[in-house]
Amino acid sequence: MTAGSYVNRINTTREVKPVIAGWYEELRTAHADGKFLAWSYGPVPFEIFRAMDIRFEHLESYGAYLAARAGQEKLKQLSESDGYSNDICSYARLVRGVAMLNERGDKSSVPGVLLVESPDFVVAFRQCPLMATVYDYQKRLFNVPGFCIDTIPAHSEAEFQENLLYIRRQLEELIVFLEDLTKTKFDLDRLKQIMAYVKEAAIVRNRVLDLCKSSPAPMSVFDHFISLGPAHSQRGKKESVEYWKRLETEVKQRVDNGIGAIKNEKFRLYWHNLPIWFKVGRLSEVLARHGAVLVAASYTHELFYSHEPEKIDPEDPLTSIAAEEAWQSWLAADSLRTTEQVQKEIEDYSIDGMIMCSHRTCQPADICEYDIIDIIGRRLGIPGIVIDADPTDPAFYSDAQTETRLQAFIETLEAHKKRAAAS
Amino acid sequence: MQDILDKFNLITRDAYTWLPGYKEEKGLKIFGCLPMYVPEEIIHAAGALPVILQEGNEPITTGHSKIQSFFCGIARSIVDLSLKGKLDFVDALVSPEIDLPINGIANVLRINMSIPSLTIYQPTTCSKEASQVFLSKEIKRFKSSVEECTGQEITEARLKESIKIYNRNRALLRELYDLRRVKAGLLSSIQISSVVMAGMLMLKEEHNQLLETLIVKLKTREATSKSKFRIVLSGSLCQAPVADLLHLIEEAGAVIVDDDIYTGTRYFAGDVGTEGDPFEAIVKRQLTMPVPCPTRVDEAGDWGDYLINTVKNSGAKGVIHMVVKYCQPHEMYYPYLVKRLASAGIPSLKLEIEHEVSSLASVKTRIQAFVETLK
Repeated sequence: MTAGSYVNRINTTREVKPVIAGWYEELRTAHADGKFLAWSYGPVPFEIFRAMDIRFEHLESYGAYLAARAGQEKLKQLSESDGYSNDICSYARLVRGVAMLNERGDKSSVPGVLLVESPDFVVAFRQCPLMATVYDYQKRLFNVPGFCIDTIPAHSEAEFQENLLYIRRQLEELIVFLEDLTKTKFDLDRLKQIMAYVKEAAIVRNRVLDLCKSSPAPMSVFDHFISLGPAHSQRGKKESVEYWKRLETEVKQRVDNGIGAIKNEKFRLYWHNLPIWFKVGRLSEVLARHGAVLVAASYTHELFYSHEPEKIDPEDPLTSIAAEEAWQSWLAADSLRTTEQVQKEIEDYSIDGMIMCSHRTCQPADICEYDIIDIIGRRLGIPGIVIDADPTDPAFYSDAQTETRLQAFIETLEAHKKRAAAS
Repeated sequence: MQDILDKFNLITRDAYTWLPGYKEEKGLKIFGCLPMYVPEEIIHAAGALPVILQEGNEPITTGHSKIQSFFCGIARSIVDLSLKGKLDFVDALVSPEIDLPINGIANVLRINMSIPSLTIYQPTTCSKEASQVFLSKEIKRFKSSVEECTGQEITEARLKESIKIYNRNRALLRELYDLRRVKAGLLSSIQISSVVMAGMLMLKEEHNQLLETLIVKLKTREATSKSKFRIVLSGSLCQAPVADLLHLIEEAGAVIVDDDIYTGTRYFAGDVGTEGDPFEAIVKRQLTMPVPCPTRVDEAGDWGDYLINTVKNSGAKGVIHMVVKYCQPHEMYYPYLVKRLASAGIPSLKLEIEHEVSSLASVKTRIQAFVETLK
C-alpha cells in the first residue's frame, strides 16, 4: 500500500501494463509483420481470429486504452472536426480520430498513444446496436470488406436458445468469409485448443471471483477492471490461464491472512455498467477513504465466460462461443433478466448498496437503471444511487459532483446499517 | 378537399386524445407499435389496429424518473405518456427492437405497464442466409403471439387481404409523393406530414378512401410553388420532423419536394409481394427495404447513393438533414452522408430536432442562409 493510500492494490495486476503495451505494438506492426489486421466492434469471437492468426483491434478495449491517455482529447477533437457530434459513442469518436490520423499519415501529433494501423477488414457483433452502426459506416469509410454478426435481443430462455443457433450459423458464415479473405484454411483443431484455454482460464477466473465473497474482500472490482486486459488480449492463450492462476494464489493468500482490498472495509458495493476508464484509480481511492469497496460489477462478473464456464465444450467450440454471445445479448437486452442477475450478485457478495453508472454516450446498460434500483430496493431493502459519467469522455464527468453524491450515498448506507443494528 | 386535410390535422395534432375515441367507435384492440418497421399487416389480419406510437405534445415530466435525459425525445416522451396513463387505451405493445432507445422504451414499459408486450426482432444484417432463415421463423412466432393476444387465427387468406390493403395504402402515398415532385408546393410539408402520420394511426382501409378522394382533387390543381429552391428532407428517424422547422424552410422560400424520413418515404417504400406464401413475402420486404437505414447493416444499399439519387430524381438542389437529438445511428452516418453529397456537388444543412421547444430565431437565420447558397 503506498503512503497515504487506503487501497491495498493487488500485485499481480501490475503485470497487465506491459502485456497491453505488447498487444498494441503487435497491432501497430501487423502489416510490417505480414499479418492481416481487423478492426472489431462489440464482443466478437476473438477465438476465431486467434485460430486464424489474424491480429485484431477491438473498439471497446482500444477505447479504454486511449481513454486513460493524454492524447484522447486530440482524437475526439479530430472526429468532431469531421462532423461527429459529441453525443456519439465516445469509443467510436476515439477510433475515428485514429483513422483520421492514419488517413493523413500523421503518426506524431498524438504522442504517447500507440496508433493502430487501418484495417484490412472489419467485423462486428451487434450486441449493442450501435456497434453495428459504427462497423457499417467505418466499413464504408475505409472501403474494406466486413462481416457483422447479428444477435437477437432475447427475452426468454426459448429466445436465448434460438439466438444461440442463429449466432452459431453466422459463425460458420464468418469462417467462410475469413477463409476467402485471408486465403487461409480454417484450423478447427487449433480453435479447439484455444477454447480449452478459454475454459480453463474462465474456471480459474470464476474461482477468483468466488474468493471475493470473503470479508474483507481480498480484491476489488477496480482490480478486476485492470484484469480485463488479459481477459481480452490473452483470451484463448496459455498465458491467460497462468495469469489467473497467479492472481488466484495471491488472492487466496489474502483471504487466508484476512487482508482486504482496502483498509477498514465497512461497506460492500455493487457497480452497474462499464467502468469510467479515466477514473478507475481516483474512484477506488475515493471509495476506500469512506471504507467502501466495490466487490462485484455487472461488467466483470457477468461477462467474459463467467456464466457456467464448466459447460464450455472445446470439442464444439462454435456452440460454446455462440452460447457466451447469446448470454451476453440476453443480459444486454432484457432489463428484467438483468435485474435478476443484479439481485444474485448482491446476495452472493453480501452487498450493502448499488452504484449505477449512467454513461452519457454508451447507453446499453443505462436502460432501466432507475427501475432496477426500485425493484431491488423493494425486494432486498438495498439502496442504490445513479451517477452520471461516460466510459471514456471526461467532458461528461465531474469529480466534485460525483464525489459529493458518493459521500451522501455512504451516509445513507451508514444510516441503513444503524437502523438494521437497532432493529 | 379541405375537409379531408382538416380531418388528418385533427387526428395528428393530438393523437393521444383522438385515439381512445376512435378505438371506442371502431371497437378494435389497439397494438401500440414502437417505430420502425413493424409488419403491421399481421396485426391487421388479426382484426386489430396497429398504431405507430409517436411523441406526445406535452412536456416530459414524470418520465424523467424512469429514463435519462440523453435519450431521444420520442423515447422519453413515450415513457412519460405511459407513466401518466395516456397510453392506457393500448391493449398490447409491439417492439421491433431496432436500436437502443427503442429497446429501452420497451424495457421500461414492460416493467411499468401491465399489458402484453410483443417483440418482432428484425435482422439487421439483411443479406445473410442465416438472417433469412431466422426471420422466417420470427415472423411466424410474431404471428402466434398476435393470435394469442387477439384470439383470432391469422389465416393466409386474411393476411393476403391485409397485404392488399397495405400495398394499396403505400401505392397511394407514393402517388401523392409523385404529385408533390411534379407539382411542387401542392400541399405544404406540414400537410403532407399529417397525411402520412394519420395513416399510422387509423385503419388503412379508411385512410385509403380519404387518400383516393384527396389525390383525385389534387390532380386537378396546379403547382403553387414557383420556388427554384427545391429541397430533399433526410433523416428524422423514428420521429416526425418538428412542424415549426418545416414551416421555416418554406417561409425561407424553399420547397420540399421529396424525403427519406420515417413519417414519409421510409414508411411506404416497397410493397409486400402478393404471390405465394404471404409470410415469406413479408420476410422478403423486411430484408429488402428500399430506403437504407442506419439501424441496419445493409450490404446491398448505401444511404449516400440513395440520397444522391433522390436529389437527382426530384430535381432538388440541396438536402436538409433532420437529425433527432441523441439519435446516434443517424449522427454516426451524418459525416459520411455529407461527404457523399459534397462529392456529388449537393449542398446540405443539418438541423437538430428535439422534443423540447428550442429557440427558432437562430435556426431561421441558418435556413435562410442555406437557401441563399442554393441560388
